[in-house]
Amino acid sequence: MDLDILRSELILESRELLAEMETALLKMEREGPTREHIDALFRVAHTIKGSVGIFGLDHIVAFTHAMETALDAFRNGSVPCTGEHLGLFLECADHLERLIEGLERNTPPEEIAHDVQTALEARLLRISKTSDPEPRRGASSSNVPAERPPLRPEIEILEGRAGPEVDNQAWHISLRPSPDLLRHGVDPLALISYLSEFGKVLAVEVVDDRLPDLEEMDPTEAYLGFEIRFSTEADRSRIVDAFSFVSKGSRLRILPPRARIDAYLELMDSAPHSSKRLGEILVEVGALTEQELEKALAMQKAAPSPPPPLGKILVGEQIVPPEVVAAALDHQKRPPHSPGGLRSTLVKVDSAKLDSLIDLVGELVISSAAAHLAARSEGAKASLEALAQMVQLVEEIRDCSLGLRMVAVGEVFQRFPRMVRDLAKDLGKSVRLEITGAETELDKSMVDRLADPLTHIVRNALDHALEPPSARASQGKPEEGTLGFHAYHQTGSIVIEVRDDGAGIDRKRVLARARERGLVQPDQILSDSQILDLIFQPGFSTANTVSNLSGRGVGMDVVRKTIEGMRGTIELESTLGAGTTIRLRLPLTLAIIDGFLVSVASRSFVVPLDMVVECADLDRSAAALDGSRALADLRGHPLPLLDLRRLYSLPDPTPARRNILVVEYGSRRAGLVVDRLVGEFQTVIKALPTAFGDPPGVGGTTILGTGEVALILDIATLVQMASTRTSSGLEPASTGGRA
Amino acid sequence: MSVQKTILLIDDSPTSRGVARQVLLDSGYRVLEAPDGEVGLETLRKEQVQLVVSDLVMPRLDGFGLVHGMRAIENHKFTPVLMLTSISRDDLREQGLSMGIRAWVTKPVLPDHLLDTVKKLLGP
Amino acid sequence: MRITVAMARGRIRARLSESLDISSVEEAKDKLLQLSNSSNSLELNLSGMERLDTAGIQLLLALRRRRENRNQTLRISHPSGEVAKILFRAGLSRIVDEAVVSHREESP
Repeated sequence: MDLDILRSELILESRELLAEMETALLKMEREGPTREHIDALFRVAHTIKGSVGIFGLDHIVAFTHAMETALDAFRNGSVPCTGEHLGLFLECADHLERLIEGLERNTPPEEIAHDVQTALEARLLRISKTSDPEPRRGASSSNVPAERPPLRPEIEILEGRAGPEVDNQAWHISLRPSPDLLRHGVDPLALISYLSEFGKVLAVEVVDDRLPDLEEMDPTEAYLGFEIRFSTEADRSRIVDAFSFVSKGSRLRILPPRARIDAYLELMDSAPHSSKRLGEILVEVGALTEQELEKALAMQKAAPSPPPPLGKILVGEQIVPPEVVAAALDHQKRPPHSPGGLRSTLVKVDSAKLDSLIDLVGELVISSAAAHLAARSEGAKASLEALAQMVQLVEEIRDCSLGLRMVAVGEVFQRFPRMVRDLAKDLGKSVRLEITGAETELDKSMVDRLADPLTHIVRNALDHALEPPSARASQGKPEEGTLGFHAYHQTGSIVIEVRDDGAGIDRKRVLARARERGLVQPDQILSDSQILDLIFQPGFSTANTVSNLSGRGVGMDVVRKTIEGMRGTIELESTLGAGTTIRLRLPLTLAIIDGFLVSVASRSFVVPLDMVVECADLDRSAAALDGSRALADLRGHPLPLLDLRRLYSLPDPTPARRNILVVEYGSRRAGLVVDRLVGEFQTVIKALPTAFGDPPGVGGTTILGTGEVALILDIATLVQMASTRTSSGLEPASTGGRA
Repeated sequence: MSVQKTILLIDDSPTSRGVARQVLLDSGYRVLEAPDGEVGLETLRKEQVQLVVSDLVMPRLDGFGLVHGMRAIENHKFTPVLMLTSISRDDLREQGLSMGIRAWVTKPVLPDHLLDTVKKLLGP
Repeated sequence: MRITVAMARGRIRARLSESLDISSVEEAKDKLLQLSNSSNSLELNLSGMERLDTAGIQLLLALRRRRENRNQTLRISHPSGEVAKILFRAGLSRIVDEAVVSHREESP
């Protein structure tokens, strides 16, 4: 809700009311105080109090409350209103005028003639004190309704004591309205639909045993009872609170989930004439099964004789727990619980257990693929059919278990509104936070690790990038700065952007700073992206360096390291004077990926499928792989190439025909030169066994259905390698790997 | 909400009305407004209204006067009234109850609390 | 509440519209009683009804009970979407004899 718009309305309104007050006071001076005038004064003080309270302007609330209390003393006749009092109220009106003016100018309350206010409040208090026989509420009591609802319905929580627990996971609510409930403007059906604000109404049955013939009925009297089956995570006080308008004479009985069977017996016993019908209704709404009802009725027959007078059981057993009574009594004192809506049931699971589950599911995927392969090679038709079904199920299990690890990135964003608000306040800045894509999901483990780097980035943006309002205004920017978090999916990654419309990065300052720090030689010429990259260099800066001009130096090297540790990358774009965007690109990091299988010299490699753009024939794409020119011409566009055979020192001979797998990471593409394109397939990422060493561009291994080990290529690294090699004109390095 | 429910909002303070109006409109209710009890009664004579949300202290005709008046209007004998007030005195509340005012919301109006109370009376 | 009545061969068809709630049940009771006393065959068409509350529902239930006790027929038909929703919420979809609105019906 936009309170700012209303704020100017508040000032306008208060001024009008003050004018009314002055008119009334002047008339009172001429004509003497009359009831009508006192009422008018009271109303002004009261209305202003109510309105300023909305904005939490406690100092004005306190003052108008003091006025109101004194005026009330005149109104109830306990103190006569004299000329001396009129003087006091004129002074009060003046002070109110000052307060409103302060409001308009945003003056801090303590700077507005604080001592005058204290003195006036003391004088006002004296008036009400001389009058008041009953203890009155303090100045702040406007926020605390002291009332206790004088009329309460009969509320019972029946849990039962004997007999088996009923197999019912839901609450059962039995409502018998008082005859006058409808005439009080309370509609039981509205209350029932209100229940769905914090749970799910599973079934409702109307009990019409009291309903007379149309002719005899008073249509404004409440005749119908309701049996409600309700599922909720909320506690009983919330349920009791929902029925707070049910009046005295109504009967509300609440049976918690898994109440014992005798609780239901009590419910039935309380309606002697229709106990059998009520039993049927309980079965209809699903509170009891047929068997449970029979058991209950059998228990009823077997009850120790003589049976207590019907209804007596209920009164005899005081089962309303004290907290329910307390909740019923103070239900109106509290603001309502956060409207929960339908809360989903949550189970906490140790993430290590989840990891081992995923690991096992991974094995399952592989072995089911192997079984499928074996059955096919043996031509076992029946097995194949059975296996096809199993593979389907395994896939579903895989999807479900992977889903378990995914959480919305909004979980990290959650902390920022508060943090941004507090930081902005401390720094005297005005910042609007914008969040999009909070629902974008990523792996839980990454969410946890993202919190620190993002916090770092936010701090930097607020500290250094976003200018104070006055500076922004003088540049013709809106005084309020914008800080945006935007999350979305893009080719195999999740992108999180942090965007500000602040000062942007001053390259000259960055370069100067880097030279000062010895990171760059005095005569060295750097490209724009190289300059921006300096910010991520360790030792580039410490907190109070490039400061208000650009100053994104604070520990950005640490941020980059964390992101890269997650197989992610960080990019930075900045326009001087217009703002900066930091873009984090993270892998989906699923333990299982859809892959594209290729082979080189009969070794298998897997490329994550969503990074594959297309396949091309090497010879047709006018490429020359020899020497330094590892660049292909793909329909007129240069494409840096990486020959996996050379990269991993795989044995020759090179086949006559080779292929290019075009891959993309972020906005960059590269072509991987391979022998054979095998096709799409699904696989599980396993950590690279140490026996493999640490070959470049390999993210993990997987076991194929044949039992063969395949390397999963880390496309981010390979794309990087391909483009730097090309730009620096170096030969491919044939490092590592005995793969 | 397929058929909008109508709420009549009576308060002499445009600020208080503004807050309440916004909360109620946001939740899909139809809102009529009146600056005092007299205008409120005129509206009630003409309109079908499912709930009256009214301030207690108002010029011309206060909240109790309003309730008294509306009980004489055929269609509004039993229309629920939610009283908004910054006065929290038990005697006033008792008096209100005897007039069939079941719901009280204390000013300053907390949007969530107001909405929650309205939902109990009208259904969400 | 508004009632439009059509009578043909001793059979009454009444269309109840606008609202059947606490604000109008007293008047509605008189009218429905009068209709009920006028014919052995009564049909109430609720297609134009916008509001229905507990007071309105119990009035319909009382009318039904009266008709049943006297072996007179009562058909409640064509509930508007809103009415169907409210009846469903009250677990009373069964009181409608003929539903044109697709809404889950509970077995009577």
